[in-house]
Amino acid sequence: MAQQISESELVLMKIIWKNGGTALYSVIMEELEKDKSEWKNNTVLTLLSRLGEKKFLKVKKIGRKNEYVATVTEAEYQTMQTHSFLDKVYGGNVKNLVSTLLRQDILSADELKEIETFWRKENE
Amino acid sequence: MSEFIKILLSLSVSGALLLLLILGLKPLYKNRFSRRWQYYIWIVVALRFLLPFTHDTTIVGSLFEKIDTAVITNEIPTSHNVPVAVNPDNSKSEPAQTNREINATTLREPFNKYVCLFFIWSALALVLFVRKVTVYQRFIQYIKAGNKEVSDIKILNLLSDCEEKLNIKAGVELCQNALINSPIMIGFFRPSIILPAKELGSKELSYIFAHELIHYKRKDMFYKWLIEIAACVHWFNPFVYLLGKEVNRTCELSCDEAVVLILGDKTKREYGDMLISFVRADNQYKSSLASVTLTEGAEQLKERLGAIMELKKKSKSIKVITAIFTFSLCICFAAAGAYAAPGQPEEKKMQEQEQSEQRIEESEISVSEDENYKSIYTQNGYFYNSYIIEMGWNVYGDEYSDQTELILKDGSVMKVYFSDTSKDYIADKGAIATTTELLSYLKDINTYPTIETPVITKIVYAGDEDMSALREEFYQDGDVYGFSALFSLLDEAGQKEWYQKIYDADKVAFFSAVIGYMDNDLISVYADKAEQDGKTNFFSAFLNYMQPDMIKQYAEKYYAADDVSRFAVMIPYMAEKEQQDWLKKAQADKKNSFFTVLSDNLF
Repeated sequence: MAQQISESELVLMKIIWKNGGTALYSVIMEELEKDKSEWKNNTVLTLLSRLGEKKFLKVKKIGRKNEYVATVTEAEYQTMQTHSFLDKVYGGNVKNLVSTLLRQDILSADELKEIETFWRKENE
Repeated sequence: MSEFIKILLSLSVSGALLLLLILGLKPLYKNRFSRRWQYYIWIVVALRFLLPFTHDTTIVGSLFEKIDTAVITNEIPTSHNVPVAVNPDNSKSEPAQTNREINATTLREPFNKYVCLFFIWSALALVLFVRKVTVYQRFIQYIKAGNKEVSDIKILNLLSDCEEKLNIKAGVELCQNALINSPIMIGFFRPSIILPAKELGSKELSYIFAHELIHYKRKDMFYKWLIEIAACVHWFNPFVYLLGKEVNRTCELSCDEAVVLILGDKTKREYGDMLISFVRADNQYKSSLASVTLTEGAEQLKERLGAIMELKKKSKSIKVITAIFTFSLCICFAAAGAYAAPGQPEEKKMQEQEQSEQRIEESEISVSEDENYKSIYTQNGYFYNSYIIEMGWNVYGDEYSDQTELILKDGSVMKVYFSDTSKDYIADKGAIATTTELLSYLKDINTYPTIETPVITKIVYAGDEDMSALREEFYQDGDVYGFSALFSLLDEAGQKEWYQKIYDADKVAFFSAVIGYMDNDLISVYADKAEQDGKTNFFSAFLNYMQPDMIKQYAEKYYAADDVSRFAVMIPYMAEKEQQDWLKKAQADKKNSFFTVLSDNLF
């Protein structure tokens, strides 16, 4: 999936993921109001239909209401984005990415060790 | 096929007339009526171009009927002349066949002409339409390739605001595109507004959105394509392009009007400024048919700006006048009318057409046989110088071995054949002299069909016989020709007696052999009688001898009685002019079955 999700579309996706992968239009609007962001009805509809076109969402009709179902989980989306980021920025070289993370103290040495033990356990 | 072309042409003329009328009245309404009205009034013209609905008597309809009858009077004599002109050379060798061929070609000629026209028309209409569609699709592809969705929530909210104001439910897509310099809208059902890739202030944006959304709400795309279809159908009509131009012009004017009415009078100047800012930057990819753009060109903009500044709300009285004006134009729509194929509903027309074409062929062939009368075998009986002579003519001589050449009174030589029963008379000088006299006489009075190659089937000297006994004998023996030969000897009272006798005995063959001796009064008496008694065969025997006014009387009677089958019998005996009068009358009275039999005969 080469399609990219824009920032405002991602806001909507996050609401749906948080809601367990499916959300009614009314639920989405409620969540948006909690964030105090002023999104107009048609704005949200346009963004949702864009997500539908990009195949990140499916629309289910429940009576007269629309239910939006995410076709990818948040984890899948993160993996996809990480891969595309890795390819774009580091040319697919993970070592360079990790060294940047370490050098910038984004990843502490303890955290790295933790990951190493997790990795060994996984392979046993 | 010819009907289709006529309908098409009539629609073209009709539409053009209505177009010119509305254009001509422009000074009256230009600054008074709303721009919206000035835009939608063209739908009436577009529909006049496209819809073949019409009522009975319309301007264009009657115009086309006149052309019709003119064509008929021109066509029929020529088709008659052709076989006659060719005939003398070919009459002896297979006259019927050559005639049929000639007829077939004369018949196909006008038919082919219409098929040709139809194909030229439809090919060009199709090519034009396909071209327009592909240009549109290519434009859409070109635009879509450069589109970037606008994700800025502020701008999207601005669009949503505008949609709410205009009561538009569906979200309209919003994109930015570096390939265009002026905002446009594309798409029919899921429209997208496409902005140029430059920074736009929120006020400018709201004007753009309002303008484009009004286009969307009024379904201007469909209107434009309706006009494009009319242009394809009537590609040969220059007025249809004028219509396209007017619609595009008034479309923008009325859209501006709507924007200012919605956003308020105060926005006039800013809205005008926005328009000017976009007209400077011409689009690289120009295609006015493909989309609804914001601005089309500088020359148009001047008019638009002027119109925007002048814009006032229309008073009630103007609204009333507009309504009346519209109503009268709709009447003009109906009055302009179109040519209607005589009375049949649409689907039937083609089928009907095919059938009538076939029927034409048949009737033409029978006409050709009529023309062929010259070479048709004819037989008759004569009483001449006490000889009863039965003679046929226009035969193929090979069947008869006995022949002689007679020198007629005008000095010409005629070959005469004798059948087995009459060949002994070749040596009988009296019989030959009588035959010569008879032939000279018949040639003199110019008998129809003209005598050529006669054959004497019977020749009897009856000078010593009792004529009335012989007549009775012939009658009993069924010798029609002998009987009719002796009939001429009777006085009027005697003839009348026989008429009644033959009529009562139902012997049509005898009757038709002696009709020639009847006067007009007698013919009308017996024709009426035959009609009342339902003796159709007798009645039709009279038709050849009836005077035109008598034919007319019967035709009128059957027409009034709605008796198509009897009416149809009369048609071939009417003059062409009379047939055409009936045709018009049948059409006016909507008597379809009469119309059909009449037109079958005429065309």
